Amino acid sequence: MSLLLALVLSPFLLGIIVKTKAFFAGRKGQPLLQFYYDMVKLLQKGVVYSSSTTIVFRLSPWIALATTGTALCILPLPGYSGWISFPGDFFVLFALLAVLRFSLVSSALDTGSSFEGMGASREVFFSFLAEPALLLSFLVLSFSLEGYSLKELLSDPFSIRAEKTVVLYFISVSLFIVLLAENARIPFDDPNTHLELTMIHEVMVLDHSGPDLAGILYSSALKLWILGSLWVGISIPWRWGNYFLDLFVFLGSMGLLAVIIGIIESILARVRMIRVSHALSLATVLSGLALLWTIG
Amino acid sequence: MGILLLFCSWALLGSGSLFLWFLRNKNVTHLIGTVTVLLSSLFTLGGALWVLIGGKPEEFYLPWNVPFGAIYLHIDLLSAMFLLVLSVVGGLCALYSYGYFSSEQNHRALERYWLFYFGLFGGISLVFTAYNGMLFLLAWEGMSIASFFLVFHEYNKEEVRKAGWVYLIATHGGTAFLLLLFGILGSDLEVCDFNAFQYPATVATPIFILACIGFGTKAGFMPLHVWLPEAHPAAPSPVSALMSGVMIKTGIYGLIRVISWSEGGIPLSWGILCIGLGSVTGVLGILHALGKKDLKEILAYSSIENIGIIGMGLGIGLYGMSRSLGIVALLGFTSALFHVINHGLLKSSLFLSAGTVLHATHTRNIEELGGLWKKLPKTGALFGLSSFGISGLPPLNGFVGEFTLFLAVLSLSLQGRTILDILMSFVVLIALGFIGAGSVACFTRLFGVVFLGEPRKEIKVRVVEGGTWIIPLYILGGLNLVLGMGSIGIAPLVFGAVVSTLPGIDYHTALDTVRILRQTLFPLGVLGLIFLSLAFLLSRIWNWILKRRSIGTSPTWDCGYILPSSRMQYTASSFSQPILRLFRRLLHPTEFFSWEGNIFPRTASYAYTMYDVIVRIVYEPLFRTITKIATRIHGLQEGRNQVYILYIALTLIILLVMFLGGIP
Repeated sequence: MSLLLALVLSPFLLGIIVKTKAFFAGRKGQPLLQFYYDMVKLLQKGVVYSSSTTIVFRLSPWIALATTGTALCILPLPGYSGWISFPGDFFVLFALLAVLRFSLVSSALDTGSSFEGMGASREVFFSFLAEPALLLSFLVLSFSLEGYSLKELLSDPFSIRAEKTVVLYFISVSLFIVLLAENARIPFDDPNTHLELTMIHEVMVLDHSGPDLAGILYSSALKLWILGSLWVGISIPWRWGNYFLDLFVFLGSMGLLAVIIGIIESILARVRMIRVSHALSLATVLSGLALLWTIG
Repeated sequence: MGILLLFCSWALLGSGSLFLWFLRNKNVTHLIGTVTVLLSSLFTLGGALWVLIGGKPEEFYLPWNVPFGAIYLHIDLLSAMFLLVLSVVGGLCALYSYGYFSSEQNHRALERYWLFYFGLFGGISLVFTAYNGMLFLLAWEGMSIASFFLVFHEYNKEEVRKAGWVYLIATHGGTAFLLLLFGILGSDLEVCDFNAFQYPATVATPIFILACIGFGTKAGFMPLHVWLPEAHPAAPSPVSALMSGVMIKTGIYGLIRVISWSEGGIPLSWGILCIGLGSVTGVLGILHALGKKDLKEILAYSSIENIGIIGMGLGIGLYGMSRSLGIVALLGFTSALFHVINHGLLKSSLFLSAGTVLHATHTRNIEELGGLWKKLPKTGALFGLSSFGISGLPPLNGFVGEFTLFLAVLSLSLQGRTILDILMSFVVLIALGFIGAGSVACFTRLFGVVFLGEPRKEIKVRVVEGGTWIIPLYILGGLNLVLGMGSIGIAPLVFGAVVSTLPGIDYHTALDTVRILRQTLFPLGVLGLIFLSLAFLLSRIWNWILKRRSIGTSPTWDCGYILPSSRMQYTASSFSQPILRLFRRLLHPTEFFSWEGNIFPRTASYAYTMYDVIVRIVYEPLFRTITKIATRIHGLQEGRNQVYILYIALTLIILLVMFLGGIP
C-alpha cells in the first residue's frame, strides 16, 4: 500500500514544492500535476543518443529505477514494517542510493561532455561529505532507540528517554541537510537553473532524452520520497496505531516537508560551491553532537 | 585425502619445474607452464573443498632434523578457506598469463616466469598449510623470493628494478620481525609446532605488535604499505593480480593464526590498535587512490584500502573478544574473512582487465586513455562490473563484507554501551562512510576515464579480447555476482572457519550469530534478486516503448558549442580535484596552475602530483636522519692506518682502565 502510494505520489511532492515557491514569488505557478504531464510527454518522445555513449548510458535509467524500486521494498511506513525488514537494513538502503549514484556518474562520464564530467565530479564530492553524516546519524538513532532495523527506528521515536529528546532534534536537522544535498535542492544545487556551470544533478542528465529522461526524473522523485520519509519518520514522531490514520498523518507530513523545502528554496540562495563543504560538514557535526549527547 | 590432493599439486609443480629445464621450444614451455598451474590449482581446489565440506581438519607429520623444524602440515577450515581463494585466483591468473605472454619471444624469460610462478603458487599454498614455525618461515621466504623475481620480470626497465628492490627490502624487513616473533613464541620449545604455541598474557602485547609489523608489511597496513604501490605497477599484470588477490592476504592469515594462539584473554589495546590501523589504512588508501593517475597504482592503493576494511573487521573482532561480546567478535572476524575472499576475486579481476588495457594501449597513465569500451567492449563490461563490486555496492560481493562489518559495529554500540564502545563504533562507521563514498568516487573515475567518453590521446589500440584474455574475466565476474547474491551460501563455510579458529567461543553465542547472519544475508540475496529482475523487466519495457519511437544519434550536447574536442573532457585530475582540495592539508598535492592572457585566457593548464603521505612524513625524515647520523659517524673512518692504530690503542687503554677499576 505505502509502496504503491510512493510510486504514485512521489512526483506530487515536486508539484507542492514548485507551488510553494510560486506563492512566495507572487506567481500563480505551474499546475500541481505538471510533473506528471511532463513525464507523459517525455514517454511519448523519441530518444537521441550521443555518438560517444555506450550501453552504460542506456543502462542508467533502468538501474536508477531498479535501485529506487528495490529501496522502496525496504522503506517502511513509519510505525509499520516494510516489505523486507532485517537488522541493518538502512545500511542497504544507503548502499542502494550509492548504486544509483554510481550509475548516474558513469553515464555522465560516458557522454564525454565536460559539463557532465563536472556535475559527476561534484556529485561524488558532495556524497563524500554526506555519507558519513547519514551513517553517523543512524548510528546515533539505533543506539538511543535500541533498534537494529528501520522498522524499529521509525516505529516510535518518542520511546527515547526524556532527557535525550534533544538528540532527535539534532538528527532531524542533520538529516534534513543531507536530504537537501542528496536531492540537489537549494542551497546546494538549484534544480531550476539553466546555467550549466552551476548545476550538479541536472547537469549529469543533460544528454538523457525522451523516456530515458523520464525514468531518471522519476527515480529522483522517488529518491526524494525515500529520504523524505526517513526524515518524516524521525521528525514527526506521533503514531496512533491505526493504519489509515497513520498513513494519513504520514502523507500530510510529506506534504509539510515539501512545503518546508519550498519555503527554504524561496528564502535562501544557493551557497557558493566552496561553501558547500562547510554546510555539509555541519550535518556531520550535528550528528556528532547528538552522539555526544547520547553518551553523556 | 585433502592433504593428499595438496601433495599432488606440489608434486605437479615440482615435476613441472624440472620439466621446464629440458624444454627448448618456447611454445611448449608456455603451454606446459600454464597446464601445470591449472592442474595443480584444481588439486588445491579439490583439497580445500574436501576439508571445507567434510568439516574435518587433516594433518600430516614427519620429523625433520632441522632445529625446531618438523614437516607438519595441517589443513583446518581457515587454511582451506584461504586455499580456496588461492586455487581460484592462482589458476585463473595462470590461464590469463597464457594469452598475456603469448607474444613473448624470449624463451628464457618464459622459463623464468613459469618457474617463479610455480614457486609463488606452491609457496603460498605451503604458507596456508604449514603448521610448524620453521616450515612456515621457509615457505614465507620462498613465497617472498619467488614474488620478488616475478616483480623483477621486466628487469631491463629502470622503474621495475627500483620497485623490485623496494619490495625486497620491505618484505625482508617484515620477515625479520616474524623471525623475532617465532623466536619468542618457540623460546622454550624443542619443536616449534603451531599447536604448541601458546603465549601467556604477560608477553602477549609485544607478540601482537611484532605480528602486526611482520604480517602487516605483507598485508599492506599503513605505514608499512610502501611496497604495494611500487611493486604492483611494475609486476606483469597476472602477477599483480595474484599478489594483490592472494599473497597480501597471507598477512591477514598470519595475524588470525597469532590471535588464535592467545591464552587467557585478549587485551583491549589490540582491538583498538587494529581498528586504528585499519581505519587509517582504509581512509588514506582511498584518498591516495583518488589522487593517483597510474592505472595499476590506483588499483594497488585500492588494495590497501580494502586491507584497511579487513583490518577494521579484525579490530572489531578483537575488541569484541576482549569485551567478551561474542556476537560482535564473531561478526567482526566473519566480515574480515568475507572481505578476504571477495576482495581476492574482485581485485584479481580488476588487475587482469588492467593487463588487457596495458597490453592494448601500452600506457598506464589514465589521462591518456578514454573511450576504450568501444574497442574492448567485453573487457570494459567486466572491468565496470568489478569496479561496481569493489565500490562496495549491492548486489555484488564487495558489499557483503562491509555489511557484515556494519552489523558488527551496530551490535557493538547496542550491546556494549560504554563510551569506548561507542567511540570505536564511531571511528569504524565514519571510516566506512568515507571509504564507501570514496571508493564510488575512485572507481567511477577509473572506469569512466579509462573506458567511457572519448579517447584523450590518439593511441593505436591492439584489440585482444579472445580466448584466454577474456575467459578468466568471465569466470571471475560470474563468481563475483554469484557470491554477492548467494552470500548466504558460503556464509556457513566462512563462519565455520572463524568459529573453529577462535579460542573460547561458546555454543550459544555461535548459534545467535548464525541466526543474525541468516536473518540478514538471506534478505540481502532476495533484494539482489529483486534488483536484477527489476532492471531486466525495465529493460524489456524500455525496448517495447522505444520500438515505436525514433532513435537518433548526435554528438554529445555541449551547450550549443559545436566543435567539441576530446581534450575538453573532464580528466581524472579534474574529477577528483574537489575531494583532494578538501584534504589538501593532509595530502599536500603539488599543484601547477598556469594562466596566460587576462580575462580571456589564451592558454591555461592545471596539473598536480601527489606523493605518498606516509613516505613524506615518516620514511623521508627517518632516512634523512639515518643519513645525517651516518655522515657524522663517517668522519671516524679516516682511511689512514695510523689513526686506526690509535683507535685500537685507545680501546685497549679504556679496557685496561675498566679492568683495573674493577668494572666487570
